[in-house]
Amino acid sequence: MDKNFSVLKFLSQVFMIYGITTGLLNIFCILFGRSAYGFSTIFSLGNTGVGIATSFQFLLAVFLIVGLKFIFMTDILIKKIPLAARIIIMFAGAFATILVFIFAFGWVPANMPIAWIMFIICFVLSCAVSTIISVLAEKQENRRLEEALKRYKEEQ
Amino acid sequence: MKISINIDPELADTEIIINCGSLTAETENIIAALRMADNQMTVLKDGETHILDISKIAYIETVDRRTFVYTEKDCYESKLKFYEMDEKLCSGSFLRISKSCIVRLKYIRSLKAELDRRLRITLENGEQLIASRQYADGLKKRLGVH
Repeated sequence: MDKNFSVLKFLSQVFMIYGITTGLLNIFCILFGRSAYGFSTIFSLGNTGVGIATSFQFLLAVFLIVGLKFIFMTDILIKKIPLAARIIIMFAGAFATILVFIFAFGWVPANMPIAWIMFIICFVLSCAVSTIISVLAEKQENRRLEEALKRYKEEQ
Repeated sequence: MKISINIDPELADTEIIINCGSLTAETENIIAALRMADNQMTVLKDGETHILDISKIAYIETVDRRTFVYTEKDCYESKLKFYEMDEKLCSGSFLRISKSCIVRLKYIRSLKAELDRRLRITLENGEQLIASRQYADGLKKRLGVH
């Protein structure tokens, strides 16, 4: 767990995630914007892209979720908590944050079950993808460690 | 304490003789420091004093303020404090991996990164140690992983 906090590191994560999500949103708008127009505020401009209000709403949501990540997935504020509990709290916190934004800004129509099912599928997929990326990064880290250890032993 | 130095070009080896009334803690510390300088360490096992080559040490651990030295097969106790071991050994081929453990880097067989940024260390004899998050970065840096 990282124990160093830097504003630059925090902001770089915020804008990296914001950039990716905004890019994906624009693709969704191009693909489904015309048919989804009127159902969600995300598609308020139809297939022409994401509106300014939605962009700022997403920026705020990403800011809060990265904040949760810094609170629960680093040692900056909370030092003694098992890793499994950290991951569960992190994902639950992210889910709750998105729910608040959905209700506050009308991202998903409240009376349309299919939209909610799609949202839950997207959220679970995002969690799965981030877990797979973490596992792959861990494997790569292990490979680097093994190579470095081998190199150290050869040099001695 | 009186220190006498006799320089004689005829002598091939350096010899240190300690004359004392009794073996006090201070004297033992001096002997331990001299052994360290000679890449050796005075350790105890079953009430007997052994002279151990530092290169034979796998890792050092402190438990209840006592310092234990582990080789591939044996465990010894040292009179030196853990922080003294840290000061004397960690500039060389040893590295602190947690608040209570120092390991000889060459004795590490493999390393595995845990999800919570700790490192699981497997030694050549199969024993496993954990490098705490606080010290894991130091280990990576020492190995040249950035």
